[in-house]
Amino acid sequence: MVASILGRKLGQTQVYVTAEDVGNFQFLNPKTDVGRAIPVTVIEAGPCPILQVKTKEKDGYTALQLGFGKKKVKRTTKPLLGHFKKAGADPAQFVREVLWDGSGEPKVGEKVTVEVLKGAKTVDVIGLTKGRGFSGVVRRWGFHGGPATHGQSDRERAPGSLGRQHSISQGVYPGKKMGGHYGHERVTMQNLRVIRTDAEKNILLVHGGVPGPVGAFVIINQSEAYNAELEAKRAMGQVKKKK
Amino acid sequence: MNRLDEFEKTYHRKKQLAFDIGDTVDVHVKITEGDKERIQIFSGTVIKKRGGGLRETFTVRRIVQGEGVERIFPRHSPKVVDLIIKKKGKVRRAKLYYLRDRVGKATKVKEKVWERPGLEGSPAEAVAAKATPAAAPVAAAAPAAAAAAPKKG
Repeated sequence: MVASILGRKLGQTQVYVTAEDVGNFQFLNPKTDVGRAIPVTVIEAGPCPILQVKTKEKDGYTALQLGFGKKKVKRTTKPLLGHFKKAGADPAQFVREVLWDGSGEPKVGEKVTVEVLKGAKTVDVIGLTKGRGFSGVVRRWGFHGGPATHGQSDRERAPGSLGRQHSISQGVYPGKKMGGHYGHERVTMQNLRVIRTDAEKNILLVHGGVPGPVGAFVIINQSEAYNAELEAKRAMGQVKKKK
Repeated sequence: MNRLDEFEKTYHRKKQLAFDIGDTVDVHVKITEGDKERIQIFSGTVIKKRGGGLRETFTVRRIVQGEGVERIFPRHSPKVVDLIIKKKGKVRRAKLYYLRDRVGKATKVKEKVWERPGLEGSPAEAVAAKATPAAAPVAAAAPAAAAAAPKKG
């Protein structure tokens, strides 16, 4: 079963709960919540051509390679162009390998649409967070900074002491929270409720926020599929067991 | 138009609420009491509009027993059933916060008397009136043009 799709974040807005929604979601109270606004992120999801099918026999594991977005032929390298050609697809801007449990018979060249998420209650959305450049400890780690008064100067956003030195430690502990590059990292938002899907317009609405700026590419997995995959990997010892 | 606006449009209310800042309005709100639904009317002056698209809201202010009460309504909420303009207000700014500091008669916004709903010659009426005679001059102009054309030849 295909349980993943690629997409693009279009932005955040809100939609109003309909009588139909109330029946679909447990978190809504049918008596009081009709007409209430809920925050959603609008994602343009798919259609994604399947560019490659990885099988147990051939690759040692199962996965699908999907493409999303348009890329000019001029800007595509020739080796990659051949890869797209094999799938009969136009060059895609965003190509990623996604989960596939090996069931069903997805074929190269077929298109994955939002339909695959229709039955899903929740999804995990993976994206790159907004890049914040070199940030100080107040922004990056939520430090409170120093006092503003009592004869202080230049201490308002300072990190304070780095810890005790010499006597016990051999210096600053590794991993000490300091200023540095912040953002532009891969983040997975787990268990976001699927509010609506529109296969015609390739639109997916999820409850709440999604990492990244507007226009950013995201990978969307059905939560159950992701969890099943993780469980399988744990069983094989590829991933550490949950403590 | 970007894709988000396009998406939001599909959720906009079918019948747009046409009103301006300073108008005195009756907002019809759907209220659920237990299992029963009824319509409550909140009437007052529109003092503010905020946001855009699906997230647009407006604030209505009224005086209840000498105490100012303000209520914020989402413009596209299905709970806002209807909005009826009682009076068009004559105002010169977009946010009427100055009304909050006023008491008594000063809380009134001047009315655009000439735009009073139902009044003859008010813009709503004028638009309707324009629509019909507008067709006539065009028709009148057409024969004139036709008459002018052969002269040229």
